[in-house]
Amino acid sequence: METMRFNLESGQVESTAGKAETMILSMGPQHPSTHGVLRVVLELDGETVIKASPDIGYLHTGMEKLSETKTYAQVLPITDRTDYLAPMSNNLGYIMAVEKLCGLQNEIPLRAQYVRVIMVELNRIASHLVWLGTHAMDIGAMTVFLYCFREREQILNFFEAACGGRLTTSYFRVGGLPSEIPPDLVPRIQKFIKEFPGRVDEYETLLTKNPIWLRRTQGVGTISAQNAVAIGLSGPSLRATGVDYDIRKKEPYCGYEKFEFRVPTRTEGDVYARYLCRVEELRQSQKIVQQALDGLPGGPIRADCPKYVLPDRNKMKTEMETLIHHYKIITEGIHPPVGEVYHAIEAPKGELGYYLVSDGGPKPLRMHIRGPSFVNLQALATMCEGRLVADVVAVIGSLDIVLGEIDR
Amino acid sequence: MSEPVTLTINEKQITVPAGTLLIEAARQNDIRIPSFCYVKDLTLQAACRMCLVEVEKAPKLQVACTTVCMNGMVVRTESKPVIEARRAVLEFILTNHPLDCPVCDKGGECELQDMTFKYGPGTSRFIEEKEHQPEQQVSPIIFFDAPRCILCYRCVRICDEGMDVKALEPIGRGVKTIIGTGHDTLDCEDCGNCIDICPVGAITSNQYRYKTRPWELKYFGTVCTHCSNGCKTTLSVRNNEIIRANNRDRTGINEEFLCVKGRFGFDYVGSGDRLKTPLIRRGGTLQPASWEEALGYVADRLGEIREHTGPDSIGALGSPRLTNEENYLLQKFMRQIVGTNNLDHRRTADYASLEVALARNQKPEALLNVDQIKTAPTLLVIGDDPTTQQPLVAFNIRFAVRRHEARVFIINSKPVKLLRQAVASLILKEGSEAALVAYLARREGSTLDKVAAETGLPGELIETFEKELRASSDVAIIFGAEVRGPAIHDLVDFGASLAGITRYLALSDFPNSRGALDMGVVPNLLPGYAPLGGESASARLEEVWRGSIARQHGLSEPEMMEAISTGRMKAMLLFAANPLENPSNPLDRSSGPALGATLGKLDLLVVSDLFLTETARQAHVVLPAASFAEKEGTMTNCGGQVQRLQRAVLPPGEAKSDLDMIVDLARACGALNWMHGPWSSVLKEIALVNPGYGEVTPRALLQGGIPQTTLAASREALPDIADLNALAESIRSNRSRSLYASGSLALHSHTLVQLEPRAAVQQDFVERYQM
Amino acid sequence: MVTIPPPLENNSTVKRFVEKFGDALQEVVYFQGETTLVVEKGRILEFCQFARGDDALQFDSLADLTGVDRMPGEPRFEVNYHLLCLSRAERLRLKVRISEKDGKVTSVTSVWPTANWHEREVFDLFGIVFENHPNLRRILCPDEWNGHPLRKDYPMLGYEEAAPSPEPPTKRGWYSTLSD
Repeated sequence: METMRFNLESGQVESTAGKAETMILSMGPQHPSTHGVLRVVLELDGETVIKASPDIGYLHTGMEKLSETKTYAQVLPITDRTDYLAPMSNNLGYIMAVEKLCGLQNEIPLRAQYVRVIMVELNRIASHLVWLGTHAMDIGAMTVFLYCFREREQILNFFEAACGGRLTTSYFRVGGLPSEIPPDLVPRIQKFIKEFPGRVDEYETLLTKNPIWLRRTQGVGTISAQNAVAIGLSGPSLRATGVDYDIRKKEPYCGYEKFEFRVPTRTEGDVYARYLCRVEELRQSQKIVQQALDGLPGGPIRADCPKYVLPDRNKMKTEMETLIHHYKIITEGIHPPVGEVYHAIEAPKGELGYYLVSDGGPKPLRMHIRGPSFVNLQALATMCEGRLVADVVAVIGSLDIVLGEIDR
Repeated sequence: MSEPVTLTINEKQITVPAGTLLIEAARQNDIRIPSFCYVKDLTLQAACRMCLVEVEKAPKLQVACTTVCMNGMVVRTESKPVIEARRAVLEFILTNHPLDCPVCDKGGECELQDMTFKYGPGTSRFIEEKEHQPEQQVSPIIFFDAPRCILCYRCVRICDEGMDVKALEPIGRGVKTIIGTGHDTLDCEDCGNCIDICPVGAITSNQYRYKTRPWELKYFGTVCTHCSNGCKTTLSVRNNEIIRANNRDRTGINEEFLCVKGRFGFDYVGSGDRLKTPLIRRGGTLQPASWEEALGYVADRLGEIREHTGPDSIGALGSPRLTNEENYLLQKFMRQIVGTNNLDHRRTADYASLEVALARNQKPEALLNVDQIKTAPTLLVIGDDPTTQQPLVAFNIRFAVRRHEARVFIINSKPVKLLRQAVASLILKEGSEAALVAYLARREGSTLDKVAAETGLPGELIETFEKELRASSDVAIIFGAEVRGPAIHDLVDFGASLAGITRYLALSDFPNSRGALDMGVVPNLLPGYAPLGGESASARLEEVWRGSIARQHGLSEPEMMEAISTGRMKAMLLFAANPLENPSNPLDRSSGPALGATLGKLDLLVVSDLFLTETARQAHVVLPAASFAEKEGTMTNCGGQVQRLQRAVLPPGEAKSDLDMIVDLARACGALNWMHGPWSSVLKEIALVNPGYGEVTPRALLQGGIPQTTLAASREALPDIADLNALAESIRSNRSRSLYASGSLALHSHTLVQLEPRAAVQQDFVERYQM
Repeated sequence: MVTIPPPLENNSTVKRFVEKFGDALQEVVYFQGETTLVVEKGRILEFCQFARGDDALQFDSLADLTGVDRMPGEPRFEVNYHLLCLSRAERLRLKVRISEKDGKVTSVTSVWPTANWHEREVFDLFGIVFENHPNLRRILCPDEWNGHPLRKDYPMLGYEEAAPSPEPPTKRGWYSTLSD
């Protein structure tokens, strides 16, 4: 029987005459397990996946185009919305790229760096908690979800105390922090961070040696180290295949070289390995936050570069030049030198890169976000082909993608 | 001409004409040297010291605004000493500058802010107390704040040299200098140029005070529609409301100049008195109606009247306030659809005679435009009073005198402020200008004694004046409505007898007087100054319009009024015309005939206007029109330069542009495919029938150009001169109006009404400076 | 011979490229600690193969591939390749300039498979065609989209669909022309 059918590779509809009968299943864009508006077009032979082809673009909101019409300070809230589960990382990546563009890398005061690290690591914990909760829920373990969100709720409360936002934080500014953190925030985080390893133990108790979990995740979605590097994988997914590359260790930024922590790697490259890497990262992030809190220095929270960084408010009220600079930086925007930079940080999901091109004006000529999920999702095809359709859900969960970053 | 000069700036070799200032040479080559006190067309001040640059072999840094380029000079504008010097200069300027940025109107467009951000220090070393002085209101529209002033003296120079008013003068010395106003209030013409030329917020506009910030505004470049000079004005609009008008970007023929009407006289656009819906007279009172009803009613009545009493019982008055496209469509409607030539408009100058005289004398290159005044070596100004009626023309005349040592000759019936720039002048009896011109042209029958008697001037004075004038060459003759009809032919004959190329500019009032005549809104001329009844021109029109046109002569405005009173004329369509303008209104000292009773005899009076004017109150149908800021189209200034209007705001209520109105009216009359498309299509059609508009294309205008019209009248087909002379008699000059007057527009402009009493101050000038 | 900015004079990576490619390497830029090599468009595939394959270089990862629209500058487009060497933690940017008339460049998916989706994105948003790409289709915009949104002449708010043409008026009135 001849039928017409959609060819994934060419994007054309063609006849099936002479080919073995397979089924095209469109998974998504509305699907509880795709973690966003992702459509995966699966070619199935029974329950086996012959081909898996992700179809993205459902959340494309033109953030990069929008950035070209906003000043550097106004672009910051846009970056919150790419990886909306880890907004502090996005903010940090962008701000550090702008600071690099203006040549301010070495001027950021120590206190600002420590607070940035605290926020970004808490943010990493929060992102991994969402990952763990939703990944487990997809595979069937519903309890973990509630446990993870209980911790995440506390972290979001810390974010709210620091900057007013839980999801869209827009916290950092060029040159440092916008304002001092509230005095009671440090003891609150201390309390949380002391209890946290106990919590991680709880999650591990539920999953790590659970036979169902092992059956669903071991040997599933395997990828070799070589393929991983070739397909551009980064973050815990890459480290689970054996490649030991963590930007915080290899290209340290924002004071990470001052902290002691381990970067977990495994060699199997399957869903279980990725799970173990991320859970261990939860513990390591906890260690970093602990060290940062213990060693938090006093001092200024913004660099002293009047042409790029907003000045101290009290000085602004009494000094003429300072008032003018404050006025111009806010209303017109800063004027970075002409040039381009690419700054990458280790976001919870992988290498988050910001590519900024400046033409000397207050608005970026081009702002490109290298979202780790965009690149990681390319690996879906390799990981799923030849496996069963139920494994697709596990693989998508283990890749830890967020559509905001993919589509922008 | 000396040889060009080659020098090196920042390792780049450039060549400039001899005598160029270093700062100009740099700016022409995209090298930015900052400055406060340097203004291109005013005298050099060198007070601010911002333009310091390093010149090799000079021991100290030199100011670029007074250094003339020399061969082999090596200049560096970004070296370390220069950067430190700029920082130091700004530090000094900022020592006493008040922390007003949050409340200063200039914030966001302040040159001091921009320079400090670019070149200035980041923090302050000033720990002393700043001297404070309260802000003063020095005129109904100007506030002066002395602490903000950085003593660049730009305002002093523009008021002194540019405007020849001298209301602002520096008082005191050194760091204690203050810009003083002499009296409690400024004795000036309220042009407001000082507001825009001030780099900081020392001089601010009361009309714009505390309203908004520059980044909230959208800017639309359009043309001021008060007088016939066609100054470009940029309207700053926020939320469909015009907040201010200025020309800070220095584009257009006026560069940075704007007079009080152009700068402050736009607020009639947002006036609450604007008509918002069509009105039809029912049961004795005007009642709102829809456009369909109103136009349907007009079309039906026109059809009835046309059938009953013939097309010649219908007349129309166009307006020098309408755009070229609207005037063109009006005369096309009347000539093609209604079938009559009863067309006229409020004429204030005789362009027709000028075109015909030049065509007859074969002088196509002899039309002068407003820009060219600046470079004319000799200027003869006959009649009118440019300072109050055509301020840009006066500004350019002063520019020519100041920068190019032009020689100015004045012939006028009253002393005018321009006398201060004149080399020689004749103040003669009112109405005798034509006789004097006839004498200068040596017309038969005109002798020195006769003209001396008529003008009331001694014969020797006239002789000396003429001798001086004939000693100059390349004379630019600028004349007002006092010279009209046959006198223009005399004038052209006289001009032909002068040395060099003589050029002519006829001054008029209203933004599109020239355009209205170019479009043929007169009873005996077709578009392009072609004679009515001339075979080739009429045939051409019929070809382009694809229909036949009326060939019989029409009636002029006074003749139409006469015809109404005798009962021959039954219907009138008035577009932006107000014959009943109130002569006792202090803003309008024109003397229109008292026509109230006459107009009452019409069977159909349709008026399209912005406000419920005196004439509109008597109408049977009133149509709400869009103002200049609400429509697109072109206007031709008195010098034949065509500029584009840009739509900046939406018209109030249901008001429409006259262009849309006429097309819809034609459609209601049954002409469905009569005219398609926006103003650009109409402009393209105009170019087909008026050879003078050959260069005036929508593309040239949309690209920001100012195309020039050329002589349209053709020697082969000249209109009847006697006809034109008869028409010229009904020209009404607006010369007696004050600087703040502009008919109904100024009446409804809150600012102009508030300022009008200051017209007496200007009269004072003239008396004060009488030569 | 291309001029090498002073901070890179002893940089072995740059030297390796200069040795191998000579004039095909058009410009070397050093800005805020980053090195950019502007290369001749026709030879980009060779450059990439060399960067990956050469033992001294080993840029085994392509971190990012983006386009830039420099209108009104000429040539209009740029494509940037951000390379990463995992073992040395070293980054390098390769840049090619493409004129609007030409609008195409060779795909590097044969060197780094990760370039697949990046190149699709550049194609989708800028309209630059990548020759020999296995699957050059739009990726973010719908397949039937017109225009390339990240170009500078594509308006921020997009294009509106044309309004439907109005109903022709019914005949009314007393004027009739010969040609109506």
